[in-house]
Amino acid sequence: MYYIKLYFSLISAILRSQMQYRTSFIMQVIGNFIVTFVDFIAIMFIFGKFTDIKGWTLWEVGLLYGMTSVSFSVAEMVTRGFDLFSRMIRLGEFDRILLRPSGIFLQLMTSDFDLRKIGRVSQALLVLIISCQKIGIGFEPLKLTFLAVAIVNGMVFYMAIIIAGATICFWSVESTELPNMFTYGGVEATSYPLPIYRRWFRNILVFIVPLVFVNYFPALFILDKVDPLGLPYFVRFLFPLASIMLMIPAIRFWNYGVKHYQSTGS
Amino acid sequence: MLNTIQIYIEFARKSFQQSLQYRIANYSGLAVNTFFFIVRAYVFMALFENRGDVAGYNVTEIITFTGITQAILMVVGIFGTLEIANAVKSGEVAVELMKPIDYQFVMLFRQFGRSLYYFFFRGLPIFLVMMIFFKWTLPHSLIALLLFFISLILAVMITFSFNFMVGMSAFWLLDARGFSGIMMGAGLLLSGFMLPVSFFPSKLGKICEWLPYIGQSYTPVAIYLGKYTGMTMISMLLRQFAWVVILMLFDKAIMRLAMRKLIIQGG
Repeated sequence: MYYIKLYFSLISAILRSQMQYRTSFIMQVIGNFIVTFVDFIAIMFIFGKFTDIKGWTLWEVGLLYGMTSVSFSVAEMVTRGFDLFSRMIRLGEFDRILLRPSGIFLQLMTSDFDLRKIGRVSQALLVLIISCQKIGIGFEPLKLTFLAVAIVNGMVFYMAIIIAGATICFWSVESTELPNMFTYGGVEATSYPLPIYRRWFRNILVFIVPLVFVNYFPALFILDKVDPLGLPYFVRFLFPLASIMLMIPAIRFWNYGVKHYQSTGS
Repeated sequence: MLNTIQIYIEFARKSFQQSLQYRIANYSGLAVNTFFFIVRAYVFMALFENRGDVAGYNVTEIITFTGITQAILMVVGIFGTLEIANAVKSGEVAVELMKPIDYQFVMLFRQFGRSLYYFFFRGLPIFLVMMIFFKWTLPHSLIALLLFFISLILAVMITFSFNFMVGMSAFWLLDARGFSGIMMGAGLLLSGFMLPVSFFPSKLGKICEWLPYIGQSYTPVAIYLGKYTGMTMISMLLRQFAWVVILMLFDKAIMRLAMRKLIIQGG
């Protein structure tokens, strides 16, 4: 309870400071909205020339896109502190965090909160809502609940990748883009149905970094689609396992990194 | 004159060498760009399944389009950079502006150095991946290949001009990130980076061909693929060149205004 209170009071302080430069803040929200909105406009243009992709229509793809984008953009918004982590290590600021009488994890979570990303979140939500409405799943409480659970699950999934990615900074001072492959790249790859990819690439998305559990399998259930890959029906419900199985090692890895941390001394 | 040019080339050389230092960053960036290329290529392959030409493209051409756009992405620097904006914000720019050389050209040549680095260490490897693992197409002709490179240099200059404009805007906005995001977002779509402009609704496609953005990405790629040939090609190249001149002059004017502002503030 204490931690939850602490979290919200620290976050609200950050938000107040971000609101100080109002014009800049509003422009950044608009910028974030546009940068991702063009992604979906491009998809709409594509579907102006094609009717479907492997049997998936525009709004079904919109559902995939909306789910993965909402999950990722919220995860990105709340884990901004981990995103800035490499700089913290490089400047030796992490030492200061170790000295404070509070959990390291909590401090990282509250070191920054990227409210400007609300532009991206709202864009993703907009696509999701329109897609649901076009497909006609707006008034099915069961499916909507299922959708909400899947999206929260997706947030945990992306947060795990971001945390694991930030942990690499303990060993490599040079900041690396590699986690982007499974965050930004993950959003891109999961915006389309799994069967469009070749087998080797599908295997990566199912077994190595199981991104398909973020949206593809839950979407199969929501849309009552037949899985062309012929996986058993219960696979559609396995998604919470995927994110738990990713989050636990991510946190373990993080703790291991903290334990073996050596300051840059600068 | 010759001396000044040598100085600018030295800036390009230095920024090339500087880029060489970030080896791990480049490998990981290369992996990310390649990942995106593979995803996009598979998306188009699935879309084009059992289809002939769509919007003037067949499947190997669209794969080549995807490969080249990903390969030149960092060469052109289409995601923008806040390098100049940050220099303005921190005040470093004051020192730069005091030097008896043209700041705009210094930054342009630094970009050239970086672009050359990315051409060899980012662009070529991605192109190689495409050549080995995908069905791709050769340049339309030898002249098309040659003009592709000229168009690519112009693309670097247009994108640089946008970045410089964003950087200078920091004199007034203080925080240029929002403006940068808006410019970049519009550019990603309108430059034909994500999708050839022939896939756009036809009116928008026509308008895009007159805007500066198209010179950031689509013009060189379309020349390589022979989508622009003959008079159209010459016309597109001239438009690209005209935009370079207009934007560079515009930037120069803004820089003058900014310098006046800088003096008022006292640095």
